[in-house]
Amino acid sequence: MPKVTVYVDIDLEELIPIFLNGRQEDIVALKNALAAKDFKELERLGHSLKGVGGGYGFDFITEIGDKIEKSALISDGSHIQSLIDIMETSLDNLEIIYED
Amino acid sequence: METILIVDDSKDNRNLLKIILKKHGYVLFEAANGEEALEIALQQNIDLILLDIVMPVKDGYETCEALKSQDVTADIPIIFLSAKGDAADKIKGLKLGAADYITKPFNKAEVVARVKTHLKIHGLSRSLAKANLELLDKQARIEEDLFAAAQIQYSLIPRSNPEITHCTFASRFIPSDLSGGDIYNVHNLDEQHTAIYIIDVSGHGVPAAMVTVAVAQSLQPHGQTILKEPLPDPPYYKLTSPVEVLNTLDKQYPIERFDKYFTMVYLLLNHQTGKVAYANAAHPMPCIIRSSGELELLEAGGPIISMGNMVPFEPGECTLYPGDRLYLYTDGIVEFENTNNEFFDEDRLYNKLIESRNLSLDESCEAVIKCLKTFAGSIDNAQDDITLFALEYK
Repeated sequence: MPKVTVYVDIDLEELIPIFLNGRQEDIVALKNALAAKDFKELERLGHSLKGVGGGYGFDFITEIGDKIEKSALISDGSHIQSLIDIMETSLDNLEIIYED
Repeated sequence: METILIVDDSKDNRNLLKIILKKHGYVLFEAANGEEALEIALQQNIDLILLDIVMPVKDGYETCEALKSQDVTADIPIIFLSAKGDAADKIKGLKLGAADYITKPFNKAEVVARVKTHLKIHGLSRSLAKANLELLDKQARIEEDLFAAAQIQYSLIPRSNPEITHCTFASRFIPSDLSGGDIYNVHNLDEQHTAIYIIDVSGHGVPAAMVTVAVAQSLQPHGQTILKEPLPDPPYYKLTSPVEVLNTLDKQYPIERFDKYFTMVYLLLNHQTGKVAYANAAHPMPCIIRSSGELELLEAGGPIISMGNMVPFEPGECTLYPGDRLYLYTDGIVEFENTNNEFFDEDRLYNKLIESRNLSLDESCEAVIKCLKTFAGSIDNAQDDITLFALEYK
């Protein structure tokens, strides 16, 4: 799996561990919601990811969040599953470059 | 330093905004939900609120409504931050009273720019509100002073018609809003003589009222009065002639003293013989309506008081016979301009006085005022005092 490179504002460096922790929690929550077929919760989680990702420089999280939200609206569980997988893998292969 | 409240249920978003804004020196508070936000906004002096929309329990819209419904928090500018991005959502937020709307994921520079802009607008509108309040306060004080000045002026005007042998009096006095400086009065000087005067001080408001008081004081008949000169031998006094009265006032009130001038007629009536001596300082000519209905003007004239006697005051004389009426008035009547840019003028006044010859003295004054009201439409916003003072010799 190639590295997923993100460019992050140097001012945010101290927040990154908390941020990444939060995303791991989100992955657990997504999996749980999907298992329970709770599409309302999946929609909410997707929406939340959409809002938070790009601000930290993690544009791919915003994209995934947007897709999860839209898929949840049409109850497309299998697409959501693949999106969760992509997110998980990407976070496992992350390369952060801090810039001014 | 300005204080910002950040409201978002996501800790990551709150952290992000805190890092961005701390750099610019703002004091920051945070809340994870609408309830907390309301509590903080009520307790702290918040200058701006960044408000997420999608939050559990109480969403951003409800929180915004709650903030706008309380006096303490209603004026705090609110910027919505939300991943919702449709025009409809933005419009909803703006309709609820939000100042701006920023979609997530937000751009750091955009957040800072909008925060700065709305803090500036808020600061400016607060300064404006404060300046307005100060202005209203000053205005109220000016109006109080004007009212007080007017009250002082009115106190100088006789409340009831004076009782002088051989004379009936009537008057109409309608002060303007701005306290126009008109006064008139009648004083018994001795068993035979009565002083009558009417004065119009230039300008309005407090300065005119102050000069009016001072002049009225000079013209009161007792103690140190200019109306009588003391003599060493009986009867120990001499009545000052009308010309001398005006000369004295002219010396006492040069224009340099108060930057005010006034017009005036002073009449000395021997109410046993009906003889009248008078002098006029640029005031509208008094008019006599004889018992026959004939009009006669008292034409002796002179300059305004304050000019240092550059032109002498002419001594005037006339005799009143039983049934004759003498009318004194100020230019507030004849110079009354209606909405057609016409002036009431002397002719209308004289005609009305002649017409009203067979009415009582008081009714004749009322007839003039009625005629003025008809001419003017309304005299409620008269620019000058309306003063009419009448005497009928019996």
